[in-house]
Amino acid sequence: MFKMHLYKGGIYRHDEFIEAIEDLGGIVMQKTPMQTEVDIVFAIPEYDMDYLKKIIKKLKGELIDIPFGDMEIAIVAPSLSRHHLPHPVCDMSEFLRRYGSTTNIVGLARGYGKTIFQISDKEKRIVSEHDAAIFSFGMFEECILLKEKELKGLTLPYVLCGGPGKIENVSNYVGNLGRKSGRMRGPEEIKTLEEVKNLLLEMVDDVREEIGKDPLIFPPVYVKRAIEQQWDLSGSLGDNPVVLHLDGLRIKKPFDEYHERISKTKVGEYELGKISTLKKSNMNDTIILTLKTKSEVGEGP
Amino acid sequence: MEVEVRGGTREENESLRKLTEEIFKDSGLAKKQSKVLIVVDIGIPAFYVGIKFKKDVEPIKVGDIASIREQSGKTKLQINEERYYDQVIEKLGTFYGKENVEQSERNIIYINSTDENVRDIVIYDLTEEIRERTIDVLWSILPEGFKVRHFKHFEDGFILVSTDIPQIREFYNVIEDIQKEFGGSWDV
Amino acid sequence: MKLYVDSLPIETQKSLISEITGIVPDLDRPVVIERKVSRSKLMKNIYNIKTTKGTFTIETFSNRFQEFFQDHLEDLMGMEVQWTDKNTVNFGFVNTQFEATRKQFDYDKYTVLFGLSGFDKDLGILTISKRGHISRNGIEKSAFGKVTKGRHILEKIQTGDKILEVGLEEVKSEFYDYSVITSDDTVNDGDNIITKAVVELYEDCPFATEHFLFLIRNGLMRIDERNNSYCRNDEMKGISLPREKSNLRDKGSISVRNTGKGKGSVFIYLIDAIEDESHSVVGRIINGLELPMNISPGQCFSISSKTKRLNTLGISQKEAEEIAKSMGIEHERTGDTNDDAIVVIQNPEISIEAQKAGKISTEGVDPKFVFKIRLYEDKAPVSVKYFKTISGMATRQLGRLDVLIAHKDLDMILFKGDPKMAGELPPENPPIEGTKKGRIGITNMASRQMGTIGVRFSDSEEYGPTGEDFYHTNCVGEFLNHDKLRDIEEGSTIYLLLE
Repeated sequence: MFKMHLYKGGIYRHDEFIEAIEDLGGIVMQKTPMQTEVDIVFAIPEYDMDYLKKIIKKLKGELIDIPFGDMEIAIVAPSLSRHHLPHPVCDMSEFLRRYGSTTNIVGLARGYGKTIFQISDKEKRIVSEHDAAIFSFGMFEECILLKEKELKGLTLPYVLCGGPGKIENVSNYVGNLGRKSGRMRGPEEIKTLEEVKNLLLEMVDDVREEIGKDPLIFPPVYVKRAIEQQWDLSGSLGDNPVVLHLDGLRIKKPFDEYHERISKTKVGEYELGKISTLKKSNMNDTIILTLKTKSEVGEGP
Repeated sequence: MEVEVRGGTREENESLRKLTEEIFKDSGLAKKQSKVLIVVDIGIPAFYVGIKFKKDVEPIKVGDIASIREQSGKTKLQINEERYYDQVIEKLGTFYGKENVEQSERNIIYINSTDENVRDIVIYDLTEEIRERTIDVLWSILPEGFKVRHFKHFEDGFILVSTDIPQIREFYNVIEDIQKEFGGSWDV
Repeated sequence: MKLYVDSLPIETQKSLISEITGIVPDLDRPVVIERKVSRSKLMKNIYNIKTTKGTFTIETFSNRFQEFFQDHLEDLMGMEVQWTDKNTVNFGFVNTQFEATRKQFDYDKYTVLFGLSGFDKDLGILTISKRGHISRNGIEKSAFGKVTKGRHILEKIQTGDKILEVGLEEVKSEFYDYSVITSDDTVNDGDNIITKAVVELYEDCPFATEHFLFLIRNGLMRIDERNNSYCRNDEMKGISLPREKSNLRDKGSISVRNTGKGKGSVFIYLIDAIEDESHSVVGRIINGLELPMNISPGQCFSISSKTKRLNTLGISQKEAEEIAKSMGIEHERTGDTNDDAIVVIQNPEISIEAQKAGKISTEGVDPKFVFKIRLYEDKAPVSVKYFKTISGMATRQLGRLDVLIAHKDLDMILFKGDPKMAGELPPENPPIEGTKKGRIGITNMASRQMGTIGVRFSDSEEYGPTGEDFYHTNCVGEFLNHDKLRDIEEGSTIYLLLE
């Protein structure tokens, strides 16, 4: 399975590093030269990390893991008012982006209050399009428990955040993250954010393991590159028109106009439409692409 | 300012107390209240807030912001604080009639009579503004989305109930309790 | 004794490798022996369930429901789908002894569980959940497994479909042990002696294929670097190639890098890798991948290709005709058409294109223009590489040099070089003891005339072959029959063959 990393090093001889990635069957996602330094974001299968580390040592570079690099994470706030935004939702969002994730903040329409909390079916579908979710709830245990019940039926891994330090019987809960009136900059608060990250990482590793048992026909990074090479997607929402998911991609282009073109992309010896399912997203009229597994296409056992 | 929270677990109370304190500090109103009491009843759910302002908040009078001199049957006011021009002219107009008030220069106002009491005319009552701004701040402290808000105002403070359900007997009991605790003019 | 040579079974009484295969393995060129270690292994908790719509795999965890599942495998076979809905697929029925309950329970997606139809013990059902759901399935928390593979089958299954077979999954049928043999050794019964790798070439990348065929022209390939992903050969590193069609680099694929510092390196992939523009995939190893997989860097292995290289450069017209005839290809002589004229141009030169066209024409020249040379690869590796690139000997056996200056009164002959490429030519192997006649010299980067190649016709104590002093001269090799060089005129071309 492909994992994402960041290389930081000098611009001198960085081409050797790029060649090594290409030789090892990896993909250079982004190269940012800055005067004498260069940042290279790349995805690579995990077979030869030791060999790559040797090259990095030779080039006096630095290797940084981006554990969420191939994920889109939803951060759900009960509303978009000052009670729930910007702190700590934006802090979490910003923190996870440091680890490579694409984060979307979702504000629920009627997510506030204890008795009137609602998460609609459409909202659930929007959240479920992501690889993982974080729900930022309030500061009272009783309320959090009531809201948690409403989340039944979500199939993606999610973390609950709230004020109380601990809640019994809720394993995916991180405390001390209730309402904040300022940015989370103190050492204690950063530790809490780390906790969220680690919990999420654990959950996502399980998902990765599950995908590994019945692997996808092609890694999403490869399909992403094929699409970007074969179609002009400029002028999309945001500067990253194709977002990686664990099991596919989100393509930020209108579904009706683009889905036929996208499904004609040539990936390896296949046409993309035959090895994936394209679906209209509930969010901003984008395309959700789910890759089929090897067993489904008929390549695997 | 003293903030007290009751009703939840110790941890919950503490975090709400901290949040309240921080938000009041951010709004610049932290020194205007002597006591903030929040009583939480998660079961209903309902939030009761009692706020008592400090006594030293005095209303602003004409004498505080202007130097006053008598000049050939007229009163000349030289106003030192620019931000009160509006209010001064408006208040004097209602007192002496608009035709009797004349603004000759930007900061100089003449009144066509001599009156000793001009000094004591209240042009601006700060407690009113503080009351309004405090209520504003409270909206960002109290949980979002409660349908019912009920006020009970006093001379130097107020009690606010914010809840999801229409009034029940319970509210009065708690409000009375807070009243008793705050005492003074708040007597039942 | 029955054993295998390159996976082909043979019956023999001999036991030494050299006697069986005729190859004596040594440290430079070992063979690999494949031994079967153990037979298939069954995983105890993974079951394959074959239905009329396809097979899916479940992974179970041990509890009493799993035990029940294990004990009733036979009853499960032949069960029909009783009903399906949005959330579940239900196979029935089987007799159970489980306590019925009317409580509701939560089940994750893809869980496998037992339920009771109508809360009746005798109507046990095997339920497979398609989505996370809450159900009143009749038995308390009866999940015992999860569907891991073939999840798409669940959507296809409908009422009336049947379970045909339930079986433990066989994880790996055979295990092999590989040992690298570096000296003549005895073999055991059943061993597979792998002596060579066989390559099947594609036709997508003619230039890269020619490059690869030139590398393995002697039937050997050296491994210079190996990791978990690939084996690499750097013998022809630095040679430019055009960018050609790239393909998926599956396990066993052979690719040639076409850009960057590593251009010209040949890779053999040991894993499935994705395609990349910088790699031209020329073919794949269809037999004997175990050799490059197991030998260490620095060692060689035999390699042969089904597609043969067709290159007649450097041989006589007559020999060229014979080779073409043996491959069933039409041959046409041009230029000097005498039998002993040496072929210097072949059209088309690319083997694949020549074989596709079924016809080649060879241009010959008088043998007096062809010279044998010797190169000092050990003493001046960088200069030799430069010389090979300029003369074209890096990618073919015949080199050519264009004469720059030649005159009867001049005691030497100069050939055209490439000053731009010579910019990276450091001083190397200077002729300190004086220049001998027939030596090939190159002016190095220390002089303005860098890159020029020259040969003297008489010895000199003072100047190098290119007329520079010794510090500016790199000595790369010598002409074996330099006497005839005196007759070469300015503007003509000479051809070179390695000794």
